[in-house]
Amino acid sequence: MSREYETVIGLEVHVELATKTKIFCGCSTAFGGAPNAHTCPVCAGMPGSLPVLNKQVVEYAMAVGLAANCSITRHCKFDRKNYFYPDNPQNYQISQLYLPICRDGSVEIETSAGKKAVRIHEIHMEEDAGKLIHDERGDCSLVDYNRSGVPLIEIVSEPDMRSAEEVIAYLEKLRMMIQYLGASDCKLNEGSMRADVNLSVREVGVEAFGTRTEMKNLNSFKAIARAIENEKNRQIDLLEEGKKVIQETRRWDDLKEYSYAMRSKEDAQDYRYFPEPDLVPLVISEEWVEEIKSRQPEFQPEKMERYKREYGLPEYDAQIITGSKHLADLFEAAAALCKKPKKVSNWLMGETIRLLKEQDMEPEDIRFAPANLAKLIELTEAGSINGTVAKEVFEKIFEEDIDPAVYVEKQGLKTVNDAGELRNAILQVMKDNPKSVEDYRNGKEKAIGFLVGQTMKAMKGKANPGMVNKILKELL
Amino acid sequence: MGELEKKQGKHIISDETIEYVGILAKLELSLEEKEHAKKDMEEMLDYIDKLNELDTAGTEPMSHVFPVNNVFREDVVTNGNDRENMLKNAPEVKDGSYQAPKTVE
Repeated sequence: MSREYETVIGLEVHVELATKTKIFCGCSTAFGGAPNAHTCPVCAGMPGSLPVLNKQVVEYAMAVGLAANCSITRHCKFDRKNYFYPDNPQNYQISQLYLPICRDGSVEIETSAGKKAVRIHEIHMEEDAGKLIHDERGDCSLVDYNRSGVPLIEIVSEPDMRSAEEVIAYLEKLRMMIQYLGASDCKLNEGSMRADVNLSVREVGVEAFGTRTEMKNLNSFKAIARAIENEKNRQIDLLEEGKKVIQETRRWDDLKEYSYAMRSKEDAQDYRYFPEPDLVPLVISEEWVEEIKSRQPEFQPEKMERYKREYGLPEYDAQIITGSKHLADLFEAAAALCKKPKKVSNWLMGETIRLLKEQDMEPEDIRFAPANLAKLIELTEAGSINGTVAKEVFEKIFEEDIDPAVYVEKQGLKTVNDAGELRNAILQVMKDNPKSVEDYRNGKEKAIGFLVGQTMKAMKGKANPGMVNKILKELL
Repeated sequence: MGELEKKQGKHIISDETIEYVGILAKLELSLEEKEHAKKDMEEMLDYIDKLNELDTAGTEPMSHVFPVNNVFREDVVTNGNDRENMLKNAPEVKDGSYQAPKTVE
């Protein structure tokens, strides 16, 4: 009989902070510039250049730490981590080893198994590395230092997770918290949130941890779930065959759905950390911590309660909308404009989510302005357009962020409320469909549906359906 | 790296240690340079031993030599695109990037 195993997982999550400038210099952090357009002697590691700490980085790190129930380290400093690689122009990364800014926190996650706390070991600040592009043809590597010096926080959890489901719940919780703080957009596919998975297995009932591996290159929640499943099975197979798990860093290939050991850096683990001499210590006062605390936003649980109370949204709708900061902001802005929160919620919960799913998008990718959704609702409420046309116009808003009032006018989509015009159209339809008219008059009430449909078709969908029904009944 | 070796109270840097330190620092040392570096490191470690004789109980560890804390920048972009000048420092340039020997994962 095969033995039963338990998976033990801890996470190292890197998050790129949403500052305008890098952590130690005044270069822009804007994404997608020409190679090396956002560099200076500091972030390109030129000799003699000196780093100066970006205050906003400290405040974001503190805000995330406080949200994750960490204690803030009052006397804090930076350390040098030494290694040689072309993505790192200084041959050291400025990080925090001995006195990280936040320690001993926890976040609560919820899975099908219920609620559980995942402990946070620490959160530290550090700088990102540059990007290497491998030039196959030229047999060389090209280095772009635009990302070099972009501020990161690394959130290190304790090995408290036991399944992929818990890992995803933890990451979603962190992402939501950080997005609510505005500290990062946390996009896994663009690398502004990166998770390294430390995983080991042990027999159920055994207390000692097994040997762990670290998995890198996980760019989506799906990839993380697949990598965890795969690595768990790989380690169990090794143990079942009487072999040993080797402590190593592995790289996940999501296309081929397998991982391989990265070139073993036998001596690279000796980073020879030492206190960073170019930066003075950071002393965080009680007042500063209090100030950051007082600026913390309304987080999801409170926002959800408020939506139910203030706007009368059902629990489920409130939960989905507050599940994304972007969606919640959109909701509140549109509701404030049109004063119809329930209608806004319906458009978000219905058509918006449908289109997001259809196009494999995240709520953060929504481009339309809240004002355009608000206008659409006003047009519908005023009876200027009917429900069918509204859906059509909404797709346009979703795709191109058009102004619905202008669009409806230009495309001639306004509902026809003119009784005379409708009457003429209906008379024509009745003339063309004598059989249906006959059926209705003989008591087959369903036939009216067909006649309404034909009238709508004749009016190119722009007729007011209520009026069509009313006039038809009169004429029949 | 194991325990530091000592002979008659003095530090001894082994051949393996100097080789390892050379690899970490990406230095290729000649035999002569190695001997010289060994001697320097031994003297440094002996000096640390000397410092360790001092009674530092009750002294706060010093995190920096300057008595200054909290030097910050505001989060405002001050640098523009100075790529042309920056790349003048590069030994080799290609497509607006620094050209480095091929790195493989």
